[in-house]
Amino acid sequence: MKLIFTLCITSLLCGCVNSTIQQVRERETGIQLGDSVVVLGRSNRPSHEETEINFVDCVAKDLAKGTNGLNVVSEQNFKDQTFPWFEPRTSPVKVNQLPQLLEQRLLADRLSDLGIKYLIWLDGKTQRTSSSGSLACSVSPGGGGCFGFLTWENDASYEATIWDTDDGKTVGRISSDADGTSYMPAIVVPIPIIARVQNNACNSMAKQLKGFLINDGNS
Amino acid sequence: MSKSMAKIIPWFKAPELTNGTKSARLTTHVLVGLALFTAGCSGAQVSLENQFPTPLLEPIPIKAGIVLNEQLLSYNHNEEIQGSGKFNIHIGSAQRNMFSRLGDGLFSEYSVLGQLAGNETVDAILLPEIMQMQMALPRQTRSEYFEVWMRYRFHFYDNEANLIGSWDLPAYGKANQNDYRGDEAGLKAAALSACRDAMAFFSLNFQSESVAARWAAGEKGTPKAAQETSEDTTSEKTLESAENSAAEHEAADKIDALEEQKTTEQAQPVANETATESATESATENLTK
Repeated sequence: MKLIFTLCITSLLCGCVNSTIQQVRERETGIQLGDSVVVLGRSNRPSHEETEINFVDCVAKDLAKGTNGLNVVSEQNFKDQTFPWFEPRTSPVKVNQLPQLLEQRLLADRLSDLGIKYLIWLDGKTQRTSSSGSLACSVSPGGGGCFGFLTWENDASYEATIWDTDDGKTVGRISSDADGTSYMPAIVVPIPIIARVQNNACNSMAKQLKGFLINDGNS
Repeated sequence: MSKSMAKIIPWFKAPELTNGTKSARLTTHVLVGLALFTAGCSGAQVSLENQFPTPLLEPIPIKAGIVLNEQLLSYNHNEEIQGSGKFNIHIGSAQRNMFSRLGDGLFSEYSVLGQLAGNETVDAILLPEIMQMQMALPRQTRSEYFEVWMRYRFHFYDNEANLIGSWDLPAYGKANQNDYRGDEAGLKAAALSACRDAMAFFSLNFQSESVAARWAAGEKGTPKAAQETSEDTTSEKTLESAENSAAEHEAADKIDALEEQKTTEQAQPVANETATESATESATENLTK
């Protein structure tokens, strides 16, 4: 009963999110026993844009979850193991740089030891596109409270590019876009109704990526 | 019982023992609130004791001596930013681990030396120095990023401590404020990123940098060798794209721009390099020449 009540409250307090997933397959994919993947956020210089760490972590965790979960090497572990080849200043920007990079014997051996079959590059971010309203709070010796109404809209736009480390080619691209409006009415107590835009984009992206890499026929 | 409690925690209990209970309680709450509010604006103390990775590279067959002197190991960047408080980044605490890892990955053998002096047990000596360091908060740059810039100068000596030449290396690190809670965590991540950037750049460009290549090849310096500072670090880079060299120049340009801004605008925060004050002065002279 308590769980149902909590679920009802949670669903009531979540704003609506629209999401769109698009996929382009360029080559066949497949995961064998012992194969691993790594999810990397784009942070190349001199670009000022960086994919959020929590989005990268979220996709990596979702990929590893479930009965058909993949072996996912964490981004930090991968960067430490392959240092200095995947740092912001040194990481390959285009797939045609990958074969040249893999000519480094020690690096190629390390990728082989880690079982890295696919490199998944995530690009994009979540941005607040608009906000309006006002909310005022006051405190007095007799008590306090807030009054007002706030609303804001977030837009998440991400693209995953998947590189195959065996042949140094791009195997496909998946884009995940989500937008949603959050509200916060306040009559004494503020009640946040949050649209979990980034989380939604992450879940959709991970689900699609998993299907794409396993090549289960549904994607 | 109540009195004994009041003795133990007089600050919290005292208002309840007076007549003006409500106003005293309110004062306490306001003070606690103010303390919490100002805690967010009181700067940050950052110390880097992190472990760094070992570069995955074929080691150069050389017995290197790496001088980690007190000046480097105690390097502190202090900066006061108006409205944000005092910031202190103890970058020196990261240097021993950084250069030990670089030594492990880059050279077939290395030893850490405490000071520069002739040493027959090594083939050549490397002396790293931090010339400059700058930081920026997201609210200063109106961006989402904490940023740290550093400029290293590597001095290359033969094993008799004769200078062969020097190599300037700019490094840059940033951290998104949305990924970290508070200034301390954000600045720490940016400083760590700058350290890794310096290590990565040093590792990958070491053999293509002419001074370093001559040093590794066993060239002897002369006691009065003119200090050769290699500014053109874009030449002969392996696997480095145009974007990467643009990033390097961007880091150097940002250091220069920030330095210029700080000297021209009196309202700007005052940077004080405690450990390498004289080194910073000479670096600024070089930059303005």
